[in-house]
Parts: sequence; C-alpha cells; structure tokens
Amino acid sequence: MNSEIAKERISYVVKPDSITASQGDFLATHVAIKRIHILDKFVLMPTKEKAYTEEQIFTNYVLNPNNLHQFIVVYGQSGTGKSHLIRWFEAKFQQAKLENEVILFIRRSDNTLKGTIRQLLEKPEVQGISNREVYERLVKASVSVDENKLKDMIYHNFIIEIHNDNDEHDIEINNVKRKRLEAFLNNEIVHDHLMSFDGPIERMYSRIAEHTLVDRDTVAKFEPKDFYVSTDFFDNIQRAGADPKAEKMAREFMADDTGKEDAEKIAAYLNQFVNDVIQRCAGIEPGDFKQIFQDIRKELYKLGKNLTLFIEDVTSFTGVDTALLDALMEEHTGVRNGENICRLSSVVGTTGNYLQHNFKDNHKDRVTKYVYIPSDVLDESGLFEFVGRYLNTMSLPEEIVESWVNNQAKAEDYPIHEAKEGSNWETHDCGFGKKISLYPFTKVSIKYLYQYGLTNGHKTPRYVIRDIIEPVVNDILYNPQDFPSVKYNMVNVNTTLSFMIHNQVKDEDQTDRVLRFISIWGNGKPEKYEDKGISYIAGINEKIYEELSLPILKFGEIKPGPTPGQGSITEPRPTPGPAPVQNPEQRPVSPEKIKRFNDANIILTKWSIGAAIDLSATGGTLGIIRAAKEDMCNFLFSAINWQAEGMSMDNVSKVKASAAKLVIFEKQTKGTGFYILPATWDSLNIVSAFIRWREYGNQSWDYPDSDFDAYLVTSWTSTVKDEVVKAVGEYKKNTPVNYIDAAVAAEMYRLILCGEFRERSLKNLTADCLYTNKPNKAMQNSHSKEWNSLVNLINQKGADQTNRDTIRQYFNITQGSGGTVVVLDALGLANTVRRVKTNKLTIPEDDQQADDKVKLRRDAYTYLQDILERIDSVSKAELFASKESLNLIIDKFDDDKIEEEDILKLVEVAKKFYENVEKTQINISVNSTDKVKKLATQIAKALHDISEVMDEADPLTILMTFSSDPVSILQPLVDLLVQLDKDIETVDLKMAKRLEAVQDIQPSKENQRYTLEIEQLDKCEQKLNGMR
Amino acid sequence: MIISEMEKRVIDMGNLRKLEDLQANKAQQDQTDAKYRILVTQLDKHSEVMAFLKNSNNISQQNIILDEIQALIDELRKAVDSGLADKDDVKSADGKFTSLQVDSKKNWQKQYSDLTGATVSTLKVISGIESEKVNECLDKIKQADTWTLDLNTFKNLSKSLESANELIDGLGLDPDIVTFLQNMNSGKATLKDLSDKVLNWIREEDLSGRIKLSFSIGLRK
Repeated sequence: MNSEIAKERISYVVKPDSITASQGDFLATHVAIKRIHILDKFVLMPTKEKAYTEEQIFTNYVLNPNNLHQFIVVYGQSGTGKSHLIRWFEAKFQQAKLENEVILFIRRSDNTLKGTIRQLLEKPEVQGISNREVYERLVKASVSVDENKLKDMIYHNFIIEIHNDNDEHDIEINNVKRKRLEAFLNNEIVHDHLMSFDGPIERMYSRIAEHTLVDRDTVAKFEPKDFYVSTDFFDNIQRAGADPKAEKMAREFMADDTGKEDAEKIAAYLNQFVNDVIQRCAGIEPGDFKQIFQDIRKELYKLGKNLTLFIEDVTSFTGVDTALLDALMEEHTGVRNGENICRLSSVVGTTGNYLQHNFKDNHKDRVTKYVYIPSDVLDESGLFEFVGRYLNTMSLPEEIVESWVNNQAKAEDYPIHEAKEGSNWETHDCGFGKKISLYPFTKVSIKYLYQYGLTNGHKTPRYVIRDIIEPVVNDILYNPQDFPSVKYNMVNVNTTLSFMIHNQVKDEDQTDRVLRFISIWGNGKPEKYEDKGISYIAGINEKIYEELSLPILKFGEIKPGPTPGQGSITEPRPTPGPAPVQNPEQRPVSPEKIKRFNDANIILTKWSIGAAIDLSATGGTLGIIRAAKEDMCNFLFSAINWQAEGMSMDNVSKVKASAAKLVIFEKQTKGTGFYILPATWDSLNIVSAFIRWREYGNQSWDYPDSDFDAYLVTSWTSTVKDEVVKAVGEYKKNTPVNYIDAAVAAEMYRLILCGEFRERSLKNLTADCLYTNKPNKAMQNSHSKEWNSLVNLINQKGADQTNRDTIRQYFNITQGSGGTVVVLDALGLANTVRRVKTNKLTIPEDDQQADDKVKLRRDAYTYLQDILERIDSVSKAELFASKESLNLIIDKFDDDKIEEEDILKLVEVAKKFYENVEKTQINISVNSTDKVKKLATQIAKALHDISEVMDEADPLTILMTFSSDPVSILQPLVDLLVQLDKDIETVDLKMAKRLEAVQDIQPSKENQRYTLEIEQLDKCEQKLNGMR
Repeated sequence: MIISEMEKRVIDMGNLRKLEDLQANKAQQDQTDAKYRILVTQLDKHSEVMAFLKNSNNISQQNIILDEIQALIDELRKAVDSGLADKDDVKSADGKFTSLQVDSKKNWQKQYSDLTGATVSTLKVISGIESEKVNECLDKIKQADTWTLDLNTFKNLSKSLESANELIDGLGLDPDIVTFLQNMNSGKATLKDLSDKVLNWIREEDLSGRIKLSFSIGLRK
C-alpha cells in the first residue's frame, strides 16, 4: 500500500455503488465474473444452469451480433454485482465502437422518467426530433418539490384514492371499512407512523426522488406490518383524540386473532393505488413517456441508427413500469401501425423479487434472455483478487489508472502500485506474473471476514467493499497504533490462545487487540514455527507483529504444516486449540453445536468489552449463556467444600434455592446474585468452557480439548472460592448472616408458647431443648384466645417444622455422603443459644436482616417477627384471662398469699362439709376434692407464679410464666370453689327450710336438761366417798 | 372466707341434725330420760340406804360394791354428756344397776343376818315375856330382811332393833342375864356367859330349848 495516495483515493475508489466510481477505477477494480447463468425463462434462484463468463455473455448476447430486438434482464440478489456487470457491459460496448449505434446508459441516480427522457433528448442524434422543445419543457417543468411536501403529496393521494374508490380494483373493501380507513389515515399519530423513516411512504418516495438513503432493493409498497397496532400505539391514538372511526379501525388492527389478517388485506388494498399515486406525484404520465420514446425511435430510424439501452435498475421506475416495459419491449419488426422505429436492445438490471412480483406475465414472456448472477459469484481466489484490486487501485494515482484505461485497459498492462507498506504481507497473483499486495489483509482474514463479518444475504461484493475493505483500510490508515481496532465478531476463539495471551500481556486493550489480530488475521492457534528462515507466530510473519507494534508472544514451537490449498471461502474455521488428545471415544463436535457456541461467544465478547447482558431468556443464544451460568453455579456448589470453609450447609442449601443466583454477570440487566463475575476475558474463557461442557460434551467432559477447559474451571474455582464463600455467608458486605439467631429465638418462643418449655427463666433453656422433641400432648388449655391464635399461626403450614429443620440442619456437620448419625457443631450451637438468650429472644434492631435477598433466610426473620409483633398483646390477654381465676381464689380464701397448706385445709374442710351434707341428707352431689388435693403443690405454685407477674411489663417473662398453663392448673381449685359456693348456698336454702320445721326443738345446752340428776349423782358420790 | 363458711355450715348441719333427731326421737328420748332419772334416783336411794346403814348400823359395804356404785355414777354422768341422755348408755347403766342390786341383795342377806340374828333370837327367847311387843319388833325387823331401796324399811329396822334392846332392858333382868342376852343378840355369847343365874333364868323362862349352841371359828387348832 501507499498510504499517502490511499488516503486521498480511498473515497473515490471504494464505492459500493460501482456506477459512481470513475471508469478507470471501475475497470481497475473489476474482477471478471465467471459463474453467470443464462436462462430463457425466469427462475428465481436457478442452480443447475451452466455457468458462463461475462465475456461470453457480452460477446454472444450484449454485443447483439445478429442485430435483433432484445430485452435482456440481468437479475440476482442485492449487491451481487448487477450494476457492475451492466456497467462493464456498457464500457465494453463503448469500446466496441459499433457504427450506427446510439448507446444510452441510465444510471440509478438518473432513474426517473424525466431523467431518462432528458438523457435521450441530450443525445446529438435526436436533436432534430419534432416537438423537442415541448418535451424539454416537460422534463424541465419538474419543479424541485420539497421532500416533506412530496411525501405528504404521496400520503394524501392515497387518501384521495380511497375516498374515490369505485370498486374497480381487484381487492375491494366495504363502505364502512373504507370510511374507517380514511379516518385512520387522517389521524395525526397514524400519519406520523406511516411517514417515518422506515415506513411505506419513505419507500415510495425513494422511487421518485433522485437522492435517497433508502435501501435500493426495497419494493415501494405497503406491508402488513405497517398496520400492526400495539397497545401503546393505540393509547397514543386515543390520547390524541381520535375520530371514533379511526379508533375502530385501530382496534381492528389491534385484535389478537384477526388484526394481522386485516393488516394484510388493507396493505394489499392500498398497494393497488401505488402506481397511480406515484406517477401522479412524479408528474409525468405513462402516455407521455411512450410518446416521447416512440418519437425518439422514429427519429433514430430515420437516421439509420439503432439504440442500445443499459438501465442499471429498472425497479426505480416504479409507477410507470408497465408503460416503460411496453415501450422497451416494442419490437421494430413485424406488422405495425404508424411509422417505423429503430431497433432497440435493452439490458436492464433488476432484483429477482421485483421480477417475480412486478413483471406481469406478458412482460416476462417478452424478455429475450435472463442473465442470473448468483450470490456466491466469487470463489476464494476471486475474493482475494477482488480485495487486492481495490487495495491496489486506491494506492495508484488517478493518472496512472486513466492512462491504462486510455490504452485499452489490457490485463497484461494492469498497473501495480509501488508499495510503501506491506512488504512483509501476503500477495495475490492476478495473472501475467503480477502480484498485488493484500496489505492490510491476510488471506485468512479475508476469508474470515467474508465468512463471519458479513451476515447471511450480504455475502456480496457490495458488502465486501462496504463492510470489509473500507473499514479495515481506514483503520490501518488512520489508526495504525490500534490496528486492528474494528471489533468484528470473533468465533471459535481458541481458549488456550486467549489464556496464553492474557498471561503474557497485561494491558487489557492490548490483549484484546492481539487476540483479535491472531484470531482473524492469523490461524488462531498459539503456535510458532519457522519456515524458510521466516518466523511465524499463529501463521503470521513475526515482522508484521513488529510493524504493528504488537507484542511478540511466546508460543510453543511446532513444525510448519503443508501450505493449505485453494479452498472454499465458506468452509467453517476448524475448532481451534492444541492438537487433540488421542481419545478414540471423543466424538467430533457437530457444526450446529459449534455455531451455537460461536453465537454465544459473540454476545460474550460484547459483554466482556462493556455491553450489558440480559440473561432472562431460556431459549436461543442467551439461553445457552444462561444455562452455562447455571452450570457455573451448580459446579461451585458441588466443588466448594463449604463445611471446611466454615459455612453451614443449611445456608448453602437456602442460597441454592434462592432466586438470587450464586453467580451473576457484571452488567447483567436483571437478577441479583452473590458473586459478580467481572466482564473480562478471563471470565469469558470460563463461561466459554462451561458452554462447551454443555454443548460439546453434552454435560460431560467428553469432547476434544476438554482437559484444558477442566483445568481452567478448576483453577478459576480456587481463585474465586474465597470471594464466593464470603458472599454466601454475608447478608451485606462485611455483615455475616445471622438468620439462625432469628430461627433459634423463634423456636424458643415456640417451645414456650406450646408449653414444651415451662420454666420461668431462660436459664435451663439449653440446646438440648431445641433438639429434643417433647410435644405438649394436652388437648385443651386455658390460654387466652390470643395465645392459641399465635400458636396456630406459628404452626401454620408446617412453618414450625421448617424452622426446626433450619436449626437442625444449620448446626449439622454432614458426615461423608450422609447417614443417620447427626454430628452437631456443638460450639456454634452453644454460642448461638447463649447469644439469643442474652438478647432475650430478640434480634437487636441494628442486626436485623429482614430484607435478606435469600427468601429462605428471610423467612426465619418473618417467622420470628410474626411472633414478636404479637407477644405484647398475647401477654396482656393472658394476664387478663388469668385475673378472673386468680381473683376468685383470692376472694374465696380472703388472702392473696395462698400456700399449699391452705389448699389442703380447704380440701379437708370441704370433705367434712360434704360428709355432713351427706349425713344431713341434703340433696347435693358430693364434689370430689381428690384432684385439688393431688395438685395442691402445683396449684399453690401456679397461684404464686401468676400473682408475681400480674404487674410485670416484660412480655417474655409473662409468657414464660404462663407457658405451663397455670390457669389450667388452677382450674380444679376454681371449679371446686365455685361449686362450693353454689353448694353452700344450696345448703343454706335447704337448711333454712328444715330449720323452720324444728324451730320448737331446743337442745339442752350444757346438760341443763339433767341438772338435777347430775346434782343427785354428785351427792351419791359424796355419800360414796363417805362410805370408804 | 370459704373455709370458715364451710366450718360454720358443718356446725349448722350438726345442729340441725340434732334438732331433727330430737324431733324424730322425742318420745324415745323422753323414755330414756325417764329411765335415766329413775336410775339416778334409784342410785341415790341406794346410796342413801347404804349411807344410813353405815351410819346407823355401822354396816360397811365391800369395796367392790362401792366401786360398782362409782362406775355407775360415772356412766350416768357420761350418758348425758351430749346433752341428751344416751339410750345405750342408759341401758348399760340400767344393767349395771341391776347387777348392783343383785350384789347388794346378796350382801344384805348376810348383813341382815348378822345384824338381827342375836336380837331376833333373844326376842324369840323373850317372846313369852312380852310377846306383843316382841312380835311387833320381830315384824318390823322381818320387813327389812330383803334388800330394798326403801329407806324407811331400814329406818324401821333400826328402830326395831333399838326397841328390841329396850324391851330386853325393860324386862329388869339381871345384868348378867342382860349381858348374856346382849351377847346373844350380838352373837357373842359363850358358855362362859352361862352363869348360874343365867341358867336359872333360862330354866325359869323355859328358854332352854330356844338357845342353840354353836362353835365359833378358830376353835380347831
């Protein structure tokens, strides 16, 4: 290359539209097209036809040796080189210098009716045409219409057509729909939508206007998607205050089931008016063109001339194509009305799509030859030559090229530039012993970029120029220190290579550059060899590295292999990597899997250089990356010895079940996680390894070069292990998780509330209590409604068991692969129990982690919180409920300090009471006092305990007091007292009645009844004593 | 306070029961009371008689009898401890009293004999002299030969014995003969008392066939 000249000439030479390049540049960059098909009937994509060279077609057909009327159509996909070929035909035709031949080349930029007529009128041969002035005025009369005004004209002409539609077209719609459609199109929001840059009006405008940015190959018509109405679009229409008819139409388009169908129908309906609208807006009638053309042909006939027309792109004649084709296809021979006209030979370019849809059958039948250019028109050698010629031409001064053209542009005289740069670079032999330098490309890079840098459907010369040659050359010219800086997709990047580069080159930008250079320009392998005294690194001359100031890397030495022969440029790059280990069991990787990996690699590459990544999809390429991320998480979960790292397996399992993933990617748009995988090359390599494990090995290491991936993965694991473990064990940065405290506190509360721990102090609430299952079997209790409600709540849906399991599992030290023996982390358990008890079964506010991103850890807090929120009201309710019993007992004993002996005394007296009741034959059921007697000790204690907490403010103290359900213990005493009260009352009533009956009876008191007798006896005794 | 309430009701119920018992058992109680009173009166009389005999005739009772009486007094006291004479206690006391009477009756037989034997013999000896008076004495003495709780009987006995002695003394008999008759009344007369005077008197009054000889205890060596 001669970069000085290239900087000046590149913009002239590198023109995707060959028509705009100069003749010299056009010929200097022309590569002969060899695989052209000739057909008599139209076939959209013929494959089996014989291939001809351009030379053969020119000689046999274009040159028209038999002087026949011709209408030759050159077609193929966009960018395949139709314009280039037509131009080449025209250039050759000009060189042939046939006598009596008028040659007209209509370029795309002139591809309007007016432009065509203007060119024709400019020809010296038609200066004598009658009405010439009139025609000139006609074409000049075209006012330069403002772009927006012209687009609006097109738009509103459609509305006029609809309004005046008298059902003469093939596709009809009813009146109601027509009115709705009119209103719809009149709506401001719809108008803006259809007038947008990629809308139908722009497409149609491009056919009229001479300068447009719209892709030339789009057909100027409405498409169904122009009428798809989304919810947002509908809202906008409504908000703008739409006509009700417009709204109804919008609703029809929005309907899930019929919307698309309606859109398709309306698009087809409107397309019926396209031609009429465009020709109206173009300002010229088909009839005008026909007339003018006829006159011109007559004039030429008079002059004894023939006309050969080369039209680059007939599709741009939209609106008048029928008239145009009719005019071009009118033969000069045969029976005709009117005067004779000259012979006409037309060579027109068009797309296969246009041919298929816009050429009517009668037109297709009148095409004399079809020339088809296939997409893969260039083979490998052709591609190298194509690129080489452009590189060569841009380094040649213009005058040298012109000089060569003026000397008939012979191949053997083809000029080769004087290279200032690229002496160490590859060359291509373009015949006649001439070698053109491929600097700044290598053949490998040309193939790579053709294969991977161009999308499907764009592997054509136009896009080679636009997307390969132009950007790369500009890059070397203006940015040599960073060359190659254009970030082409890299596929099948060799992991070993990447790894070795990153190990040897510390600067991230440089590693990026080197990897890109070696992967695209080189063979992508970390190898070095020497051949004929020249040292090659990854297949590239070592001197080139020096030239580009790239670091010289140390790779393993290998023996040079045979020079690769001519190959197809569509061959996929083989999977890079070190020589595969001889493993007869490893199957080769299928191309589909390689493609999936490559697609993922493209996204990962973008991510590694700063792009965000959305891994919410489960399918497609992003789904593959997402699956790899899941595999990374699973791998870490299984590879890290969590227990050895001091991490409870309960925490690990909770993290595993969490929506927050163990690993997330830096700049991941959605999702939360623990360890953030940085967006670096190293990370890309790791993710790639996991993708290969899944895709190539089908979730095994059974694929080529898997040993290196395995090594990468294991070494990465050891690198990130500490950070991962730390992240899992943390609630937030530097704050360890403490959900176990909440779980233990909640369980302690549960033990108290369920009566499984019945002491009044936490002192004896040890770890044993947490692990021993002693359910309270009492079917009923005397707790308050609030207490029982809380118990129900904490036992709801197995929440209590879940919490217990958390505690059990948290301190469980798993032995081997499991078993029935449970080994506990006794120290940890004891510390936790102690801590919780010290904090009185709460978590200090500063230590609360109720917003933990792990749901199962958060649940422990929620569970505890459910309890804590309620214990105040529960304790108050419990006190309130017990007051009644307590007050009754105190009242009956008339003492607020009731001891066991008091209760026993009561029992004794009650027993006596009932004995007397029986004796007195009062009809009352005898109440057994055995229960009260048996429970006297507990009752006394219960009374004491309840009395003690009546004025207590601390809910926990109250709960602990009531844990043993003292009110139930009091119940027999209460029942007895209540019954005694009733019985005493009954006794009183009955006794009163019976006393009435015996009120006359007065028993002697102090033996008054027998006073005399007693005196007598006393006297007897005296006498007796006197007798002794 | 419920305990005190119950205790009060216990007492009240006891009282009610008593009253009801009273009402239900009044007649029976009256009977028992009557019996009790009789018993007490009888015992009083018994004691009175015994005290009289002791005082007037120097008749001492055996301790066993005295103990029986004491026990009976105690039982009778106890029988009314509850405020009402207990039927069973009264019955028991009645039985004991009956037993006392039997014992007393048995004892009296000897005591009577001892007390009246000589006098009656003497009277019989002198019945030919003052037969009307002697017979009168003897009748009255004879009335007391069976144990009774009638004090008058024993009072009459004492009087009769006195009358008998007065009668004997009133006969102007020789003092030796009086002594001999007194000894005869008291059962202490011996052959040594049979002086000539006495023998003559006996022959004169024709009492030889009425005076019997017997050996006294301790004769045999």
